[in-house]
Amino acid sequence: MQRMRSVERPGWRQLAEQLGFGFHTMYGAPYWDETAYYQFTLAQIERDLEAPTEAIHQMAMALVEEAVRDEALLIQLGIPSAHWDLLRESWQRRDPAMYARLDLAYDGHGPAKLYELNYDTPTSLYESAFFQWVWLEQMQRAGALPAAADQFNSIQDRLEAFFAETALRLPVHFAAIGDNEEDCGTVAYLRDIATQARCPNRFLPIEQIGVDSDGQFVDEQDERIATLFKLYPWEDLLQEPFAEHLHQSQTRFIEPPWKLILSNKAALALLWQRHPGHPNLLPTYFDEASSTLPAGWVRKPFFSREGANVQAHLPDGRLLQVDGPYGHYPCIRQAWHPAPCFDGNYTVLGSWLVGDVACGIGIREDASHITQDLSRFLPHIILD
Amino acid sequence: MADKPMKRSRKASLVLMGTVPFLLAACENSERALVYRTVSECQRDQVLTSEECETRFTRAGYESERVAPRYRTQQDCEADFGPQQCQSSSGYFIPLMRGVLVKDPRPAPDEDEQSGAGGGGGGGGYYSSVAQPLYESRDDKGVLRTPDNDKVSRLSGPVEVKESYLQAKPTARVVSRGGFGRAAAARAGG
Repeated sequence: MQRMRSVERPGWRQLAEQLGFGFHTMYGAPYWDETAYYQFTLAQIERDLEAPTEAIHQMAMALVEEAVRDEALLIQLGIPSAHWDLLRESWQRRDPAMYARLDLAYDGHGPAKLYELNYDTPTSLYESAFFQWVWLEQMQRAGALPAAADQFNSIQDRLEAFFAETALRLPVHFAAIGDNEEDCGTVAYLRDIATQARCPNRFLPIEQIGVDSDGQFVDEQDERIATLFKLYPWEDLLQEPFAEHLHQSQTRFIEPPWKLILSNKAALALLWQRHPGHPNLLPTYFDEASSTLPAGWVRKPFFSREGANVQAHLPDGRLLQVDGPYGHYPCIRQAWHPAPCFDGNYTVLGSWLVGDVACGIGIREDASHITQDLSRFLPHIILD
Repeated sequence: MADKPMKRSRKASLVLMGTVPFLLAACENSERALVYRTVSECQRDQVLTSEECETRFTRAGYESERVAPRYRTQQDCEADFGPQQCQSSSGYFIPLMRGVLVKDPRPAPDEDEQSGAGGGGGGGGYYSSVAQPLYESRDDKGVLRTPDNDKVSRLSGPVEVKESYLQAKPTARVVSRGGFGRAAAARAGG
């Protein structure tokens, strides 16, 4: 694994905008960054990333299976009892689950370590699955990268297969917050893939979801929603007024409600309890937010995104802290494992699953130790 | 020598998103496909199950409403496709679907001997359930064509087509009179 400096494609910003990638620059800072790329060997991809991703996924699925049968675990996970049946039923029905992203620390040597699971609303899909693919293809056509270069990225193929072959109730409504450019871009991309798989679909701003006189969810035309893809976290949905209608709802959700178990960082502590010493896991425990955080540990709220409310007490005594809106949640404590540093950039690897198959990676760099919303996305290649 | 399997998607394409439809293929492969004019013809062939034949035709029918060439008037449509060969669809007129193109689910002969794993896993089965609607131009009777007016076959059964023939098309725009039949007429004459 190496970080290679690279020359930007002329006109890539214009191309990005033509292709719906309006968020290539966010808050005035570059988000898509092709001034460098990462190069892996095939062995690094297959042995150190692909196989461990599927192994972690299997441990995660076993944890869900256990949790839906064990109320003590659901309590530990902080899930209100009112929602237990919703989780259980969605798991026992095998409601289709589409995708997930594992955040890994990996520097090319030794086992990748799991930072976090993103099983409910993983971000950076478009740039991982699509724009990085286009980058490689164009770089090869321009002769800037060898024809033998490949990429660990069959995400779009896998998603297309998901929409073509999964027994979904149709049509599928795709819901996101109507004014969030990044989320709407992600949903537009998923709708595009669904369309290519001939899966009938519609966009629905999540604020426009209604409930009819039978307590069923309906779209803007008052039509019942058969399947709802929602780019909106379950922990938020469950706290909102319409949550009371979920239990009698005939709507099927992507991702399904049981994903709440894994989008919760308590799952990391439960995984470590069940697989202590696993080479791809970091030591992780339940923690009291009020206690003093010992050196060498990171504290994370059960629910938090983009590094918000994360507190790190480095082994050398320094304290790193990111503020955010998630301070009221209980916390876990994870062993400090610094993100690898390449040319002054801290790198976190997002490893994608579609269904049960590991099928691609996306790399984010940050100038700080904790990945945040302002990190940059860099492409990668495989070349032996 | 067989190509080394790629770790990446075979294509990256967009049909709705952005301001332009977009397709980049890692390599323009040909694909083994099947052409059928009717459900019963598909069922008699016994490559697909009876139920698969029905769902392929149903799906292609829906797809046709999205991708078939659109005309503002019945006359314009019939000028290209012939009398009684058009139907109305969401305020436009589109040609009747005259057949479907589906992926051939059977493993290619040379894949058979390599390993038993082939067919079911990996790339083998994906988007096998989709079907492309086919049309017949008035000027080139008997020949089935894709929504892009690419010639597919005169005969039913197995065909070898460009991979892109099976891929989803951008949603159709309205065409003006004569916008569809010309290429067909030119080819028929050649």
